[in-house]
This record gives sequence, structure tokens and C-alpha cells, in this order.
Amino acid sequence: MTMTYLNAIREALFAEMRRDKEVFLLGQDIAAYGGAFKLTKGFLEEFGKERVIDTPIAESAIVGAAIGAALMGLKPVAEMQFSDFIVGGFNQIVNMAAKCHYRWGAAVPMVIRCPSGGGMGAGPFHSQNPEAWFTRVPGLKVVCPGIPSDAHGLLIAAIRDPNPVLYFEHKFLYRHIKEEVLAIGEPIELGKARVDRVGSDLTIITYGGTLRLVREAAERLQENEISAEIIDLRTLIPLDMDTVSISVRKTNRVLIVHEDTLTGGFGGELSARIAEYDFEYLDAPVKRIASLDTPIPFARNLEQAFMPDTDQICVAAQELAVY
Amino acid sequence: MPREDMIMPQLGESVAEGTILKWLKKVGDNVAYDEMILEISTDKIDSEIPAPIAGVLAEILVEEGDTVPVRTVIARIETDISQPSSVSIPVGEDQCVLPESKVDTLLNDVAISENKGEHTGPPLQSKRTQRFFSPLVKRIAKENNISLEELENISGSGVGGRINRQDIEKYIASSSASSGEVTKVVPMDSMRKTIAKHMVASKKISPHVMSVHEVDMSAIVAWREQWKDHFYKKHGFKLTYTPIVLHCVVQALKEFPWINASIQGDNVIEHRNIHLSMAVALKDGGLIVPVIKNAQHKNLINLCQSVQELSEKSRNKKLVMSDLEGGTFTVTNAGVFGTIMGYPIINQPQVAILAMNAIVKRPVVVDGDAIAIRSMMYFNMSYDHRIVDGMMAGRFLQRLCQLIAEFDVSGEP
Repeated sequence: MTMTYLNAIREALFAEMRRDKEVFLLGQDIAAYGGAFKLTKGFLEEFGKERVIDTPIAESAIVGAAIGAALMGLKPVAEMQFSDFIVGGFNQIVNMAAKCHYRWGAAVPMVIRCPSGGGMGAGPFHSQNPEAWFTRVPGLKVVCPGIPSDAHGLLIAAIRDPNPVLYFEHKFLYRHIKEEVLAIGEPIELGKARVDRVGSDLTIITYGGTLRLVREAAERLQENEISAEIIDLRTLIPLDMDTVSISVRKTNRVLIVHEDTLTGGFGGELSARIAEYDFEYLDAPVKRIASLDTPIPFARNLEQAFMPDTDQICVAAQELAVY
Repeated sequence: MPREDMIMPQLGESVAEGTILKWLKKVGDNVAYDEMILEISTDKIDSEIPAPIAGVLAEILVEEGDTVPVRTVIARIETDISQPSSVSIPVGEDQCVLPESKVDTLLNDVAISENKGEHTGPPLQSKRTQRFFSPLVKRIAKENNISLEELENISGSGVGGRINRQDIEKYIASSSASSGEVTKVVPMDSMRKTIAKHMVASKKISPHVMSVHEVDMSAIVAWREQWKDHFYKKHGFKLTYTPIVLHCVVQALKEFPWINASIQGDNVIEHRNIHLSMAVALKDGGLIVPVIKNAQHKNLINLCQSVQELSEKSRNKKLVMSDLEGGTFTVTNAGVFGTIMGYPIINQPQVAILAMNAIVKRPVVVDGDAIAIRSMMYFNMSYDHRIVDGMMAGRFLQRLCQLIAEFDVSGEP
């Protein structure tokens, strides 16, 4: 079935809620209003107010309630209306959800859906990509799908996973991309990267919102006879270094692209690991393209200048290819 | 002119001794300040060691392969202290290969034991190369035994002339230097040279043609199985297939003297006597072709004995020149190695060579339309088309096969 990214997420929620009575949703305006992005429209009607719960504007309370429910055996899927506000629940996530199993042997099978990313002129509080904050907290899994089929399968896997999973869904992708989703209702294993495009001259590693830009760039590079291999990480934690290394050892040149800001972004960790494990296979320095280290501008033109774009990726790839 | 001692440096705190791997300079060579002069190896690292001072390498006191304690004097450099060093190294542009701490140790210890600090060159540094090589290029170079000096001379297609993977791979593909890694040069011994010469000559002299016939060895196989132990006890040598075939070959050659021949100018020399050359493979490679003289006067037992004797003499290197001369026809048996069909090269100046092959059980059509399992063997005969035509070769082989088929297996050999 052809699905938008948003519908792929919706269908995953529908499928899991129909399959497993212990799965329920909670979040701000998700029930009666159907969610800020209308992603959960119709869920209240089908599953009732016991399983589709509107909450106050209080991320700490949303996450805390979800953790409690998970500890009691339910499978909550909490929504942060905008992932920018996840910091309100930060303590609950990193000190409670992430550590419960380690400290008390109590599993926290929960998912926090985090609509994230810019490109819509939504300004500094509604456009951020906070995934890297959570990649350095042992005990959490971090998922960042870039295409509808992955969004669908990875959410199903996240819901079934016994660990707390942060699921970052890119808002720009919601209605901008669609594709045929074949394995409806089927999970995609967490921790497996995907070779999105096979190439030989350099490897471009990305995830989430920038995958579509990297795909466009690869097409343009091909016209200039530069063959780019694209690795879509899909999940940051667990990180699939095997797939990364195989590609790096083949092409010897690496470009990392993400929409999160550069400093402290996940690209830094990835770059370090490549330098550490694949040093002797590098024929050029590992390059990173990310957003500027500033708050996200509201003005469209400034936002475009702030975020990575296809031109920038092409230029960096060309520099690497001739290095 | 003063001579400065050069000592075995201490490459690391716990290192007590070092081995000279290679002297890069020889006595009498000029050495520039900081120029690599030797390679040493310790249990920690291998390293090239630069000359501590410019001059002439006057003495080498420790040979390659020898291990000596650190601080042992290993060489002396004759130097004119007043002359400034001829090499100038831009400070700060060098690639240091050793970790900083190691370099410090190394450099302190490489310093000359006398006149310390009096050299006029720039600060000592581990000079390796002025160019940048990526980790990948360095790894590929190492794997292919390409030295840094060689790398320096490869032109790069990257930014600023940098060598990239494509460049070094191209270099390796085109370079004979790297082939030393994957091949081994073995000079031919005299036997191999002789074989090579004879084989090439024969293919030039004789237009080779080959015919193949097939013969049913079943009766002989059964007969030999029955008698071989008895035969060995009685005679002290083995009853094998080769003398059985030779026995039939002799008879066939008697009937086809044109094949027991050689060519001299425009004349064909038919030989009255049949001297059978037999190819013997040697254990450590090579082969030799001794001759059974006057085979026409030998019965099967004599032939068995001759084959055994000549094989043993060949393998024990006891053959004399006369054992190798005068052959008129050659039989070779590749069957022992499992060959079922081969293409032998004529042993000049003969005109034909017969190859026996492996006796293999095969389903064959016998007695009209029946299929039976028989012990079969192919005979391949190469012959010189200058004088032997296909018809004659065919008839000869046909007769040979008939003789094999009619071989008397009724009683004791």
C-alpha cells in the first residue's frame, strides 16, 4: 500500500493496538483533537478513552505516567507534541526509564514518539533534533526512520521492544514523502542499518530527515560520475557499525550528514568510531555536514541557510571524491 | 678528520638491545645529517635510524642480523665538524611516525656520544617524508612492500598531488617491484634446461599429429592380479603394465619399421634394432629417458627386469651416458598419475612417442549391444607427420591394440 511517512506511523500504531490490548497512547491533544499533526485522528473512536489518553501540557507527567504503566506491564506509546519539549521529561527519561532495568530489574517497555526536525519555518522551539542527547544514555534505544517503510516497521519493533525506545519522526517527512509499504504490520529489527544505495566512490552516512537530501545529492553526483553509497543508519542506538565498516572499507571516503547541529551531534560519535576502527582504510578525512551551531531561525531563508541542503552535500562529496 | 661514534639507540625505556636489520649506507658513503642510515629492530618496534651528523660512513662495527646491547658503538662517521649540514629540514613540516615520547628517547640516544650538541644542523627530528600519505595508502603500501621512498616517487592525482587509493593501485598494477612479493624466482637446474631445450626443439622440428586408440585391459588386469605376487617372489622384481605394453610395442614395431625410425636430411633411417626409450619421472621434479637396448631380443620377464633396473638407476641417479643414448621409439606412462589422455612430445630424433594412460573402469559396449564394465585404457601416439601419416599411425595402433587383446593370459608369465 502506498503510504505517506505519517500514514506509515499511523498504520503501525493501529496494527499494534489491534494486535496487543496492552498497547495504549498518551499525549497532549492526541485523543479528542487527533494530535497536532492529525496523526492519531480516529484512534479515540476505535480504541476508546481508556487507550487513547489526553494529558496535561506536562512532559514530565506524560513520561512519568508512561514509565509507571510500563512498570505495571502495559506498553505505553507516549507522544511529545514537539520533540523540543522532551527536555521537560528529561529526568524521567534518563534517570528513570533508562535505568529501571539496570537498577531494579524492572523492564520499561515504552516508546516515546518525538516529532522533530525543521524545514517548515517553525522556529527555535518547534524544529529541533534532540536525538543526540539520548544516544549517550545507556539503557535507551534511539530510532530515526527516514522513509515510510522504515517508519512503519521500526515503530512496530519499538513497541514490541522491552526497552524504553525514543522514536524520532521527522515532521517535514510526514506529508512530503510516500512510498509503497509492503510489510504492513511487520517489525524491522532495531540496530540494523540499511544500504540505501550502492556506490563505490564514497559512503554517505545519514538518518532521518536528511536521507531524502542525500538521495537527491547522490543522483546529482552520479551525473558527474561520482558513485555514492548511502547508508541509512535507521537506529542510532544500537548502532550498526558492521554495516558502516563494510561500506567504509569499500569506498575509503566518508561523509556524515544529519540535520541536528554539528557540535555534539551524533556524527561526531560516528566519525570517531570510523577513525578508531577503520583508520587504515581511510583515504580522506571523515567529513560531517550538519546544521549550524545556532538556534534554529524562524525566517524561511535563514532556516534554509541553517540546515544542510543538497548543494552542500554535493560539494562536500565532490571534495572528498577528489581528495 | 674526527670520527664520531654512532651507538645503538634505546628505542623505549624497557628495551635493552637491538638488532641491525639493514645498513642503508655502506662504508665510504656520504651521509647527510638526519638521513636514514640503518634499520634496527627491537622487541618493541622496528625503526629507521637517521645519521646524527653529516659526514662519511667510515666504519660499520655491527653487521646486519647481529644483536647488541643499547649504547654499543655500531658505526663511526668521519666528519668535518666545521662544515654545516647540507640538508635543511623545514621545522614543523615533518611527519613523525613514532609517538612523541618514543621519538624523544630515540633522538636523545642517537646523539653522538662525544661532542654532544655540537652539530650545526637544525634540531634533530625524525624526518620521514615531506608528503602526506593517508592511512589507507600507507596500509596498501605496507601490504605490497612499497617503501616510503617509493611512495615519494608516485605521482598523485588527488588535491595538491596527494596519492590516493587509485594512484597506488595503479602503481602496484604497473610496477614490477611489487611482483617480488607474490612470485619467486627459481633458476632452472641443468636437467630442466635440457628438457626445455629438447621440448622446444622437438615442437619446431616435427609437425606433431596425435592419434588416440582405446584398448580393453580387463584380461591383462585380471591376469596380472593373479600372478603379480608369485612373479615377484620368483623373480625379485615386479610384474607391471609397462613391460606388458612394451612387449606388444616391440612386436608392432617389428611389423611397422617405418615408425621405428628417424629422419636424416631427406632420408628416413629405419632402425633394425628396437631401442625403447622409457620416460621416468623423478621424485623431486624433472624426468629422464633411459633406453632399453635391443628390446626385440627380450621376453616379457627380461623387459620387466629392464624396466625395473632403469627406473631404479634413474631414481638413484646411477644412469650412465650409454643408458640414455640410441633410443628409436619412446613409451611414456602418465597413467600412474591418473592421466586418462595426454599429448606427448616426440623424443628427437625419433618419429613417434606412445603414451600409456590410466586404466579406468568404464561402461563399454561389448558383444553386440551389451554394456559391460571393463578396464579400459587410451593409447595416445604423437608422430612426426613428415614421414608418418594418419593411416600408418592408425594401423600401427590398431595392431598394437590387437596384440594387447591377444596377449597370452593363459598361464604363468
